[in-house]
This record gives sequence, structure tokens and C-alpha cells, in this order.
Amino acid sequence: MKNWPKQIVAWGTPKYFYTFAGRLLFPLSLLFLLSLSVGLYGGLFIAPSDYQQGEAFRIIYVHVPAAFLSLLIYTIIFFCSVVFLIWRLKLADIIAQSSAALGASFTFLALFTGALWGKPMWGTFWVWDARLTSELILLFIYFGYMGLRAAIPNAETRGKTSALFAIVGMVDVPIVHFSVYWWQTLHQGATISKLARPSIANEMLMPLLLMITAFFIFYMLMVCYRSRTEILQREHKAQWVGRMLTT
Amino acid sequence: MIENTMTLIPDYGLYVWLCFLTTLGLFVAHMLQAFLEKRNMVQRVKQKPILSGRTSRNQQSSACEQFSE
Repeated sequence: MKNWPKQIVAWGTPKYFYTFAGRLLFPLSLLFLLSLSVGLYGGLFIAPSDYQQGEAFRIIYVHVPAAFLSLLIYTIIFFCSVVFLIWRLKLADIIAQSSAALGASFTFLALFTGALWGKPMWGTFWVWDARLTSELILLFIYFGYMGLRAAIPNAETRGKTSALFAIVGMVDVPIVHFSVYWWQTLHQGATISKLARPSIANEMLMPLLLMITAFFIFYMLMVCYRSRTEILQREHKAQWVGRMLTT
Repeated sequence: MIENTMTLIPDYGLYVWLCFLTTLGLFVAHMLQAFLEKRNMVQRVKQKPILSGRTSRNQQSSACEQFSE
């Protein structure tokens, strides 16, 4: 194990990751389909209706995973950006780039499903509430990040500038998370917390956890897929790419 | 036939079904986009002529970005 730093750097090579991600695609697809189908069945057919919200509470099974992933993906982009700026690891930049569109989609989904949940519960699709507004700002940050990447042709400038942008944008993530505690909001507090008992019955909680798992596996699956495409684009002159595609 | 199928779908209201269908649509759209992007990229890379006189960086496929200063 003398050469472990070299080994870690070797794992970070696009060539190694391309092969590794390729091997993950099939098991991840299976796990995604399994967790999604069981989670959907549990959420739509097994979980009882809520005594206050009726059937509309079932929106929780897509709203909460989407909102959770919107924050998690941005945090991953933040860490990848830090790693890229410090160590210039190409893979970190590739993963950040592949994650951005997914993060934006999940943020949009969280806002859209939240609006559809808000109408029957609050009587309106939208209020300028701290949680909703900060989540909307997160969506604009994602758009800004993607737009910045698309606007800069030079790889060096693109990598550095977008990493800096992602680091600055990270300030919104804790604001989204803690907004329900810091301000008086219409939005409810956390349903699942690491420190407290979940404020939701077990038969409702299990499908929710399965749906969060399904969303996360989907994210990993898509990042593996998109990163492989990005690696092909960046490394198309390398010999190993030619060999890989001809065999 | 259609009436029989409709009775199997629980009446949760339009908003609930709209949320679930949007989510599934988003998943399908992402998978389709990723698949098409990959296929197009493989075709583009295969069509490009192999360049001679590659740099050692290209041959080694390093982990870290080596920008020219």
C-alpha cells in the first residue's frame, strides 16, 4: 500500500472511470427500476390517505425526493468544484458538469409538485415564502451555472469560472434548508430528520425512503452515463478511446 | 374496456397524477437524452480520423487537467 496516493490518482483517470462507470450501468438500472416500482406501489396503493390532507398528501412521494436531490446534487457540484480548483482533477469537473442538468430538473420538479400540492392545501399555487423563494433562487443558480459552462469555449476558463460560480452559489443551499426554521413560513418543517423521530407513520415513511433511494440511484445512473459521454468528447484523441470503441 | 381500466386507477385527483406523470416523464426524457447524446458521440468519435503524432498526455490520459500557462 506504499503507492496509495498514486492509486487514488489512477482511479481518478477518465479511462478508469469510463470502464468503472460502464460496469455500474446495469446494476444501477436494475436497482433503480426495483426501488422505483416498489416505492411507487407503496406510495400509491399501500400508504393510507392522510387524515388532514386526504389523497393529496401522496405528492410527498415525488416532492420530497426531488427537493432533497436538488440540494444534494448542488452540494456534490460544490465539492467537485473545490476538488477541481485545488487538485485540477478532470473527473471532478466532468461529474459537476454531468450533475448540473439533473439538479436543475429536480429543482424544477420540486417547485412544480410543490405548487400543485400548495393549491389544495394553502389555496394558492405560489407564495413568496422563504422556502419557496430560496428554492426558486437555487433553480436560477443552476441555470446560471449551466449557462456559464455553455458560454465559455475555453476549457481552462470554463472549468475555473464555473467552479468559482458553484462555490459562491453554495450559500443558497443552507438558506433553503434552514429557511423554515429561520423565518415564519407557510411551508412545513422537516418530515425526516437525522436527530429526531420522523413525524410520519411508518407505512407512509417506508415508500418515501424507497422513493428517495430511487431518485438517488437515478442520479448516479445518469451521472455515470453522461460522464462517459463527456469523457469520450474530451478524450477522443486518446488511443484508449479508439481501442475501446473498435473492440 | 376503457371503463374497466379507469376503475383500476384510484381517484386521487388530477394534481396527484400530474405530479407522478411529470416525474416519470422527466426520468424518461433524461434517459432518452443521455442515450442519444452517447450514441451521437460514439458515432462522431468513430468517424474522426486517427491523428498521428499524439502528445504523451493524450496517450497517458492523465487524471489532472494540464493547462498551458
